[in-house]
Amino acid sequence: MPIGKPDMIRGTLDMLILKILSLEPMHGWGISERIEGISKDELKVNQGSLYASLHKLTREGWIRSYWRRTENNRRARYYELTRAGEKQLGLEAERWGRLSTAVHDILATT
Amino acid sequence: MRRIRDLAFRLRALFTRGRMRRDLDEELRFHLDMETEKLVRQGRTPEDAAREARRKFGSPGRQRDRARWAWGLSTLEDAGADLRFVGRQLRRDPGFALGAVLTLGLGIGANTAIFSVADHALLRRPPVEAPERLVAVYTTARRGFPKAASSYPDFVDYRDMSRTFAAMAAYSSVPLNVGEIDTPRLAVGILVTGNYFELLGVRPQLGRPLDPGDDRQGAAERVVVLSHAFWREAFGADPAIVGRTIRLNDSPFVVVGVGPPGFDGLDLSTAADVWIPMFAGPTLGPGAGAASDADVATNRGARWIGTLIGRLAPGASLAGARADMDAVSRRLAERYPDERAAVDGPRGITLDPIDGYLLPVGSEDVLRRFVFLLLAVVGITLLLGSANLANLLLARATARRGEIGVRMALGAGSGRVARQLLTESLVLALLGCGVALAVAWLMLGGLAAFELPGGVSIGDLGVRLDGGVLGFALGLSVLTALLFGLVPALQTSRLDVVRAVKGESARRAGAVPLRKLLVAVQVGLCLVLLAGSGLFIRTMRNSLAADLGFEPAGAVAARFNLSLLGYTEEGGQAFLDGLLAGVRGIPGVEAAGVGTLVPFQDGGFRGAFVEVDGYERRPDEEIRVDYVAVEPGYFEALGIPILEGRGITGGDASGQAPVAVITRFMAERYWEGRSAVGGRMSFFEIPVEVVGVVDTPVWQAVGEEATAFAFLSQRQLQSTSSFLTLVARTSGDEAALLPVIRDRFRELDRGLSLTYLSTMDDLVAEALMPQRMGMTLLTMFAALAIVLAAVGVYGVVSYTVRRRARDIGIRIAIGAPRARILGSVLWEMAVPVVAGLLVGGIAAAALARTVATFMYGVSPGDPWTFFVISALLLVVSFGAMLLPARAAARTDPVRVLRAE
Repeated sequence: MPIGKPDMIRGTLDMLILKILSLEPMHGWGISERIEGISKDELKVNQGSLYASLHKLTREGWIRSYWRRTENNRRARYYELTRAGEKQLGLEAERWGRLSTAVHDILATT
Repeated sequence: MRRIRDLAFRLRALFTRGRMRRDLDEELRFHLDMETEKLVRQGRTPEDAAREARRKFGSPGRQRDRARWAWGLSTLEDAGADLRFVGRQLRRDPGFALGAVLTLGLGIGANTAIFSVADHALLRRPPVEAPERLVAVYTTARRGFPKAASSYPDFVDYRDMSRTFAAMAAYSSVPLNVGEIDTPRLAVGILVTGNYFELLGVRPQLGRPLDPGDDRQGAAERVVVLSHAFWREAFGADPAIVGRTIRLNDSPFVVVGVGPPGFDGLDLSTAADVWIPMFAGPTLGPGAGAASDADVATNRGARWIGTLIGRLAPGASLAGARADMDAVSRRLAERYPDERAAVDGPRGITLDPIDGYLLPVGSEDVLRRFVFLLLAVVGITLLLGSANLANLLLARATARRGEIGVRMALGAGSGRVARQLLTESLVLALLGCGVALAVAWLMLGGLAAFELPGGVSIGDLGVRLDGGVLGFALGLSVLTALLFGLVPALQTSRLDVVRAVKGESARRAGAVPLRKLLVAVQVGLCLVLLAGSGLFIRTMRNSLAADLGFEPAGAVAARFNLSLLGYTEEGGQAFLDGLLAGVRGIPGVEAAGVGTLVPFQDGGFRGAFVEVDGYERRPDEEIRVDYVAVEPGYFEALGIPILEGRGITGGDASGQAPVAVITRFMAERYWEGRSAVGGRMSFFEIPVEVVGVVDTPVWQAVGEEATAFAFLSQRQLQSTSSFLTLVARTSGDEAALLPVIRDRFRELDRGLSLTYLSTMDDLVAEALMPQRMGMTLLTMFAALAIVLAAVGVYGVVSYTVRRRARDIGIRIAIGAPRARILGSVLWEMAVPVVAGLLVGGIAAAALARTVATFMYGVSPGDPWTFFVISALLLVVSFGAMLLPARAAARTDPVRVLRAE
């Protein structure tokens, strides 16, 4: 992991995956590329955590997977958000908002 | 809802795990490919890109593990993998596996078998309603003998005067000769009051129970209930038994019921075959003893009812019942002052809670001690085995540090490794449990031939390995596994991977002292078992070598009861004359006689209070003499030496002057240096002349306290209605004589059944059964213990030597003499061994005192025994140390140092 890049905060990976999948169904590699791309490489996705997370979310019933051809005609497993997942994303985003505001307020205290 | 979905997911994952794993592999491969392509697009060479992608991705195996963990599948699947792994590991080291499984199997198997026996003898409760509310009631006759019999009027008094009992019943056993079946047989009859079944809450399987209506004097029809076991054995479980007439002591009785399976009365040593209403006693003839007397309901002095059973009234406590019965006892003493005043102190009433089967009166304490001794022996063996197993597992865990370190470095989680070790212990435990069951089964078979003190035959207890005991064994196995699997597992999961892989032994200070402690414990426990074994062996040798006052070798005995078949006194005497003539005519027979009692037989004692002419009694002294009625030839047949005067002869018939032969003990005690021959005493207020003195035979147990015995002439006493024993001495093979004697009995009366027919040697051996059993078991387990201890010492020393190989190599390289290396290794282990010997010796001496009851001719702290076994144990431990110590001294420094 490159020095200076923050490690993924525990528990946030699930939320980010849900967010990415809320945009469009995507495979594992694509998810990690999106996260790193959107965050301009500020966030690095640990591949092991990624797949563990994906399977955990599947077990929770928040996402489901299916096999599809990619644009390059490769077989890949795509994940998409379920209704429960959408609800969960809303809850987590709201909680994250409150948390980051709280952290921000503390840091902004002079 | 979520739970259900989760479970559904796991189940689907379990059934489709093959496809899921392939999918996962493909998904991860896709990821790697995409990453590689991206890097190639960024200008890296394909090889470089692939390497970089893999580096970034991490160990594929580990990713797969983590993803699978997320499926929640790994737990189930890993268990299978663990099992296969453990199988491979154990096959690679069969010595370890065999040692561990056998140690566990023997330890747990022996414990299971002995626990089953203890359970059946002491813990089991009779299958009656609320046994905890039952109390056994006895009439105290003499100080020091609180559980004596009661008379029927006693029973009526206690029942009617007590306020704390809801009901009270009485029962007493009588010998029966059962006819109207294929082979006439002896059986145990229990005379019971009519409320017996109702009070116990026992409902028959067939027919009806006895009820108060059956128990009346002069009832027109006599009825009985058979025990379930007797119904099956003697009547082949005949479903039409109810209503059938059988003959008991040649009188007709109608069977009205069959008891429930498993119920055979309340006594451990006497299993009931037939229950008979008490007032049917006279119908059973003189064989039923006092029960057959016509005045049985009114004779206050005829105390023949063995046990009274009371059921506490609701709200009444045992203490309350005791106070109540004490008050009853005082009121009775006022009402019958003469009758209630017994020999030494007034009569009282003793209450005993029924917390299991009633143990044979007088043997309760010995029986309990003996069973606890057995439990202690097998318990110690289990402890010893466990210490050994712990040692084995610890050594194994240490030896496998390297292997485990490598596996952890390759990405195995520490929890996963710990679980694998636990699986290994669990597999060992279950295998051990299987062996244990086989051992327990075999041991129970072997134990069936033995007898517990009090004449309780283990075979007759019907001990089985039941579900509870199975659970006990399984629990023990798993507990042992968890305990000794967990210690090394915890140690390893804290393992420093880097040092382990480099082969550096982690110098954990705790490891070696723990192992030394285990050795000390093993040596100590081993000493305890060896000491017990030694004491029992010496007891046995002393007992067998003891002077019995008679000569068992060459003699045979047969016990029978003529009165059960309705013989009159004259008929009985004619039978005896015919029998003795017939037996004396058998070639090889040198002498034959009959007596009411022979040494080493159960029961048959009868006593009387006598006056000895010329002996001044102290005011509080009573001369109690046990007496035996004998036919001529009795002393010769038993080989009891006649020291002075003569024995009983055919001339000592009824009508002649009554004569007696007494034992040397009695002569010395009451004639005090004068010759007893020609002396007079009054027996039942009849003057009797002493005509001879014989040696004092041992009657029941070697080492017993001698009591006064007198032999009276059977023809003068006229006691053919009691149990009699024929004794014969042969110059030939006594075993071959047994069937010939049985034929002589048959020729005289085909219906007569013998209580036993046995050589005197066997009777003596049977009386020594508890000692023999103690010796056999202790010696067996002591031998096992010594092997375990030797293996333990060997294991620890060789482990220490291996661990120190480098130090030893260096010392040899710089010139240390090899003898000194040998000495230092031995010295290090000498401390725990000697410490174990000392502590074990103290513990053994303390424990031996509790079993002093079973010792004869040897003190529990016998220094010679302790010296010999300590020396033996020291030699064995030293031998076990010597092997690895010599290997250490022969260490090749070059090889060891190069290996670093």
